[in-house]
Amino acid sequence: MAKDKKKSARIRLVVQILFFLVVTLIVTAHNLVEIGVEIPLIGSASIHSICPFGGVVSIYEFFVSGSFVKKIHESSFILMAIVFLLSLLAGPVFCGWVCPFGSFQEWIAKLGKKIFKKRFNHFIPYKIDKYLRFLRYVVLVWVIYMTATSGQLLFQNIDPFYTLFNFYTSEMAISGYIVFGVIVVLGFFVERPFCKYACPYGALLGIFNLFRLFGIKRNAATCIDCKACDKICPMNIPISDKSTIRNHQCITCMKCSSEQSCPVPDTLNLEAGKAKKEAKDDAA
Amino acid sequence: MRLNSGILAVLIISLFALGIGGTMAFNLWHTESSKNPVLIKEGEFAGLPNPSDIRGSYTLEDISNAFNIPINDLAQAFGVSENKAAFQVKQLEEIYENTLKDFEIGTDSVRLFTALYLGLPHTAESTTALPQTALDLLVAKNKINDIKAAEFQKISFDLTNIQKQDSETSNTHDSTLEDRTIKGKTTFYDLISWGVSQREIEEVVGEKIVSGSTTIRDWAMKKNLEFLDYKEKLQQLVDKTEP
Repeated sequence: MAKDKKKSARIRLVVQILFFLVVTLIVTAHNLVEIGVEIPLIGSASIHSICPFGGVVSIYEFFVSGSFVKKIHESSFILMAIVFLLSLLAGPVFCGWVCPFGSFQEWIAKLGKKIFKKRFNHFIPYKIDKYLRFLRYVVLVWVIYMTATSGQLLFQNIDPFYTLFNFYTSEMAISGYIVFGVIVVLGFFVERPFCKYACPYGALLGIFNLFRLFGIKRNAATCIDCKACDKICPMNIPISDKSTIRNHQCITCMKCSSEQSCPVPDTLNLEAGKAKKEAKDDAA
Repeated sequence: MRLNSGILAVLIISLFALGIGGTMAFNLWHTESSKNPVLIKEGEFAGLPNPSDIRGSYTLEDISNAFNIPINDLAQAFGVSENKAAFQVKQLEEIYENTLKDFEIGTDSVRLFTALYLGLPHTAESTTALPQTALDLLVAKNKINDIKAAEFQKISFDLTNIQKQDSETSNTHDSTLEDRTIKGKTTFYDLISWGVSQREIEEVVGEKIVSGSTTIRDWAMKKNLEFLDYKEKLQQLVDKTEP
């Protein structure tokens, strides 16, 4: 049983590492081309051309002028569509399974957990924290507005995702290093601080949690109310009192599920349709 | 219906693979600009390509194809003597970086030149300058009248003087640069500014340097030579000099 739970956690880790390596390879190939070295078969796509958020910020420009924001290409639009489809099915799995910066923060969190033990990720009272989580929507509106009015990727100068893969290039702005440094330091106290408070793409994908096809569902009939799910959730979402998780911060990491942390089989699952409690209520 | 981690992993990877692979098969997957500027939507020039949409990654060949301007006119205007077709207009910014006090020669200069050449609208940035050769060509080809020529004379600079100034500036400025590694953007001028003599460079490349502003990579590509071989030999010369 414990072996199965570990295996389930490892599956996500493998996917995270896979996407992290793919992005690293693509960005390295692009930067090597700049100095005259080409890696066969990899090409020279820039990090912007493989960023699905580039498609989102370019929507306005595309409909107004028929072109993309500078540095954004068709590939960003295609990736945006893929991620939207995934989100429609299973919520922001991009954040929990694919985004290399999300993975990077998760790996820093492992160090934070070793230092602060149970205090880690619980420094801010939830009453205050749940409102702070809406800050990322302010960032989302700001980024879309600034990109639409300037036609340029202004967010690049503070984007920690961009910094993570380009810290050694001459294209970096000092503000990028500062924001990245702050996120890394915060990452020792809070899990995924950028995702929670500032990521504009996470904010947008979070909306899919309200109507996703496959949701995290809790079977109230078998739940023993041990609150293991609440404790393990990296996004601090209260799960144990809900039948379906509709919180905008859920990243479908599956850590709370019966596959991983929930001690009772078939109690917390990723499934389509109504939660069992809801179904029973409806029948009554 | 239930999804577990294994199925979810397969779903994620499959959707990315199918989405990217499928659009590649239909030639929809592009990670670089199509080099086709947007068309002007309104007014008397509606339907014509918009010079304001020229990007730094456009080569002279791209601009020539999109706007139907002879490539030699573009090259002459901007003093590009080698590897004209593959010359990206953003390279102008690197070549003339910090050479003019209040003006810049770069992508917007090419936009302005293209607009003037074709009589199309473009609002140049306040710091945009033109090489004198560009203005001379516009006048010689009757693309602008005398009144306009006088107006643009204020933002036109003699290219040969700029190149000289660039070389002189580089000699004083670049010698303090920390990074003296030869990269794809490194020009022959950069090597000279790092203390390598022209004679030493010519011995390595086996010919006289015609244009100092040419990047070593472009020079090697034009000659069908391996850039890395020359990069290594020239880097040895750079490393021998004092920073």
